Amino acid sequence: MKSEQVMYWVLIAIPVVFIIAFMVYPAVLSVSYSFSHPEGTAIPNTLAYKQNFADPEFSKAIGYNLLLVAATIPFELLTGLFMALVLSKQFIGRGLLRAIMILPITIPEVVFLVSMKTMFGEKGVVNSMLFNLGLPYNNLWLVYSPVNFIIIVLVEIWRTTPICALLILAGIQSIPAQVYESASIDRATVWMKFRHITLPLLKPAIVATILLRGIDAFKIFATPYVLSPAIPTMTGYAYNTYYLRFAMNPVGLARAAVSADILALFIIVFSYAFVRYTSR
Amino acid sequence: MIHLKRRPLLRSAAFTLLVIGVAFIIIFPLYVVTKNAFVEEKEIIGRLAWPWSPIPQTFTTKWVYHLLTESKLVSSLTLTIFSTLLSVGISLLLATPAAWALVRVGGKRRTGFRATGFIMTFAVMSRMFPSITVGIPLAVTLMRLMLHDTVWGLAIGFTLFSLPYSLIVMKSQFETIPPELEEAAMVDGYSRFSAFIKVTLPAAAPGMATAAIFSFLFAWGELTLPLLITSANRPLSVMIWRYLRGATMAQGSAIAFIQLIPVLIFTYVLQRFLKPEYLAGAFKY
Repeated sequence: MKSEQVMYWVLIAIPVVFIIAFMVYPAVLSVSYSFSHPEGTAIPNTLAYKQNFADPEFSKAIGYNLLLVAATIPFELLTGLFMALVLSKQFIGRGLLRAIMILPITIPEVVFLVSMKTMFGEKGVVNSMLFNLGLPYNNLWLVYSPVNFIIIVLVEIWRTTPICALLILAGIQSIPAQVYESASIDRATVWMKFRHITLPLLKPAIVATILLRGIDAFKIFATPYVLSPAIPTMTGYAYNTYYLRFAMNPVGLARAAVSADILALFIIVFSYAFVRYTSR
Repeated sequence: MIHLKRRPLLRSAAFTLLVIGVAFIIIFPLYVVTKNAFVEEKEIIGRLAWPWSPIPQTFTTKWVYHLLTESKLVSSLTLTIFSTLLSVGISLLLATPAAWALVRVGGKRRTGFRATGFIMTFAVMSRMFPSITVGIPLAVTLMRLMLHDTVWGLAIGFTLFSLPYSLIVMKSQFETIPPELEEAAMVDGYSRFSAFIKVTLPAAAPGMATAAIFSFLFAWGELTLPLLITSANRPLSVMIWRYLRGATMAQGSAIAFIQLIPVLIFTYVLQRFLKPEYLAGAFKY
């Protein structure tokens, strides 16, 4: 019995040690990098933080990052809720629709971005169609204008509606049918059923979906990076600072680590909230 | 009465339209990638692109041919395949016994229950941790271990996210298998571990398949982490990224097309036994 317990804990320890060695340890290193600006008077110092917060590009990255989270989540939640309600009904082609809706979840982001660049690029499909219709077109309005922000939001909605829909669908399917039957006996309308049964009972599923999507949305990087150079994100800022602006030197390392660590802080708070909420 | 009879027809027409509409919105971008992979560059960006037509105007297999013959692209393809498969292997090999042990330990004592909860919280949070925070220091760590820019280094990076995921999925899978099965085998003379291998593991096959397919998909499509932890040997996703940022969209599209094929196959397999809660990492509401 004793040796069995030892075996259990050894089996559990192996993946934990793996994650500590290759994820927790690098994350701790990242924190130490952020306090190791070589031009600082003493080590450790907070010069990298001061420089980043003085950099307008950094404030812009945080601002856009938060704005993208705030702009995408309500819409994808609505489209996800709608698709979940559709998928909870019986109709011809339901299996097919469910199968197709898994695609945006499994398709690599870059593959999808190839297509988006073809469509929304300077000489892309959309500009081409405007040209065909004889409408005014401009190569650059898709790249440097508020329209571009809307396109990025739409692209994100395309990618994330299915995951919201399937998560909310799981919540809908866990509502017992008897609740609806007794509401029908009391002559509840479709809207009343939705408003007073479906929505309150779906609240846990919806909150969990918001938290889960919020975590992912904070990490947004490739879509804005490819579709618009004018919209920076925190991941994009860290990447640019380290690899492009400072060509992997210690200053760039410290300043990139600041951006990455602030992002990690957001994620830790959200993911902890998610765990606490879903394990209740 | 007529009114009542017509409504289901209207309803099914609305649903059919919706299915067609959603299918079009989802499949059209994939069609564009496929089309781009088999046309001349000038049809994507250039004079022929105006006006753009959904029907291919030119046809060439040279982009796919390049991918299968040019040494740099071939090595990228093999690197992606091997590192992905390696990370699937490591994830399952480490996560499956650990998840089983967690289920066996968690049910018994208070300390076991506490520890299990703590480790699962740790797993969920590491699954969600941002790649950028790990990536830059991990590249430094891998350099010290002489694993930077190798298949193993890349596989370790991929495994960071698929291992916690596999652990979560496998734990909820083992929770559905009664421990009595194992105990019956132990009465017949098996040890605890061999009873696990012979009896419990085959019963956990659906969970293992889900974990394996998702681990494959994470690694196969991951962009941010390989962008940070590789420099000379780049996997396919980073190659596409570079072509996307450059001018040759057609070559990027051909790589994207090749990358798409296994994804489509696995998605087809997956949708037959996918449980929605596995998407979020097997969370219960």
